[in-house]
Amino acid sequence: MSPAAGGRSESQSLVAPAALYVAAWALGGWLLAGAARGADAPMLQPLFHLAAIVGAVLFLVFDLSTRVADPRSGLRSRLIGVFRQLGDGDLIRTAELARALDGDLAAGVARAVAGLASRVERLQANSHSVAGAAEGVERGSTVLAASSAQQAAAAGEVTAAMEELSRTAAEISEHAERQNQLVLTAESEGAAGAEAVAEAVEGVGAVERRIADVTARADTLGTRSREIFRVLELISDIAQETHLLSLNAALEASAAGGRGRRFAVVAGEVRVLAERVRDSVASVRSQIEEFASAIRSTVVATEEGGKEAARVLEEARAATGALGILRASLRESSEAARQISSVTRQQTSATEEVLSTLRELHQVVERMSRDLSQLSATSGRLRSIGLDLELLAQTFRLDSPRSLKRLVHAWAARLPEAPASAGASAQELIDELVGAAPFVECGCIVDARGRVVATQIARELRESGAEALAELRRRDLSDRAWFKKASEGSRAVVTPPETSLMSGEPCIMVAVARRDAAGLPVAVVEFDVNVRHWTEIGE
Amino acid sequence: MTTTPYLLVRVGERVAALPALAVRRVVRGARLHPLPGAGPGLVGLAEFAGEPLAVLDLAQLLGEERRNSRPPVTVVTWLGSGSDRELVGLGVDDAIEVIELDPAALALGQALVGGRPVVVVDVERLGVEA
Repeated sequence: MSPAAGGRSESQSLVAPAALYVAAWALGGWLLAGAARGADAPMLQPLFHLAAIVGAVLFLVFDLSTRVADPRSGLRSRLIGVFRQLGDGDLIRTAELARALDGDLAAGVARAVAGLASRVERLQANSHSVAGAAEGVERGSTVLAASSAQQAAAAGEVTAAMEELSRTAAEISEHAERQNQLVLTAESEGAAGAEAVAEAVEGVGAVERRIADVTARADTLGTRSREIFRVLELISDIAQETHLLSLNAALEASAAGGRGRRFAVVAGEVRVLAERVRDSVASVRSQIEEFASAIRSTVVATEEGGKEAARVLEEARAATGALGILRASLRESSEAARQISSVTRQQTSATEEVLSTLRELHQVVERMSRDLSQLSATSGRLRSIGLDLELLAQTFRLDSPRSLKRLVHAWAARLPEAPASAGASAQELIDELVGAAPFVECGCIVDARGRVVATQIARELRESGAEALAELRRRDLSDRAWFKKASEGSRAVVTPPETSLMSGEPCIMVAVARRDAAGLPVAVVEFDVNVRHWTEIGE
Repeated sequence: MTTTPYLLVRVGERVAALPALAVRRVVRGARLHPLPGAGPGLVGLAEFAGEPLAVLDLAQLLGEERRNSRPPVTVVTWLGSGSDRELVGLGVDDAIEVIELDPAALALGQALVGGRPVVVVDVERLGVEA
């Protein structure tokens, strides 16, 4: 129980309410600022309500205290006591004290207290909602992150496959292009070859024509020489006749005796002439025969040459035919290569489209990933806001299963006045208390000097934490913040998260001092709630 | 000395000389009609100046075997002498030329012409077998 504020003078009775009033608005302002740091507006309404109610209540305080400046110091001091408890946040105690007031006042204060309590509870509910929403967001963002990671991986695979396909298509295209080049080269060489063959054929044709020419000339020469032979025959005959004539003339001349001498001379000259003609004829004949023989052998050789040329021509024509077939098949091959090239180019452009779509997808996924990490950070902040709201709500002692201060008070009430001597019963008590509150991680009872009397941890941690527990039993906890604060007064304290000696994790520590009838502290009861489990408080 | 004209003819391998004064005409390509049953020396019958002419093979007359059944040249000449003179044709291979020879060669029956031995035929004494 808090000591009554009996020492206050009348003059201070006006200052104190004003100070409270200012403090209330400061608190309201702090809450608003805190809310401004946080998330969506719907969650802030209870805060605004709270600030307004607190302000109104304290205005009421101010108003009442100026009006109620009467000699009835009993009512005044009772009111002061009520509002002091209210100011400390102990709504249970406030309600108890309010019942001692008169009629309207009691009802008014009771209504205010009830309203405040209900708003605090709503605040707690909202903080749970905020935490639940944060958890939902986190779960959702984890799922999204996982699926976007999967998508990214799948997209990555598809991209890799498409790039591979693209490379392969490019290779095929290059290959087909090279093939086409080769074919074009072969084609041009084939064309050159065909030209060469055509020239050869032309050349052979020219040779054949020459040969035909020569043969024709040879024929002509043969005919001419036969004609010449006939003429020679004729001349030969004439020469013979002339010879006979000369002989007969010589005979006549000899028969004529002396008178025939001159005639005989002439006859002799004629005979000589005839002989010369005969010799010439023989010579010409032999020349012509030589000539004719030469022509004949030339014709034979030429005919042989002609056959050879015809054979070459035949071969050349066959070669031309084969070349033609080859060139046709080369053209087919070239056409096929061109088609392949065109198809692979189409393929490449289609692949490019797919790749560019995939890249866009990748960018979308990356953006989503960034958004998700922001979302994650936001949900972390939401959780932290939720925890802040909860801790704010826990500063009040309410008649509610969710009020930690109420709980620790209940535990302390069950302690005997001398727990250090109670020994085993203290341990039983702490075992029962820890077992009954699943959100409690660890509980302990220490004496007034801070030495551990009894301690226990949550069932699921008993195996892993046995050693730490044994360690804890031996410790002196007088330096702990909760011990010091609890020992200062008779109020329960709720500390912001500290590192637990038990688990090494951040825990909210709730403690209260048990005092004897004389008001001296005999023990401090304390329990830890792991920050991870704060949403289970009261379940 | 005086020389006498002779006609040189070729008979086979040999050259014969005939007295030019006895030779009437040298003819080539005369048409010879063969006489079956005639003696070996008679080659055939030709026509000369509208009259039939017996053609003899000079080669056979000189003692050679008949080689050529149709001698290309016919020397129309008087055989025999005086009133028994008869115009016959002597078939020879060729008529060469008319030359002057020493009459003493007639008696020898041969002469050298141009280094070659030539048979001189005494046509007056040449007998004719009908």
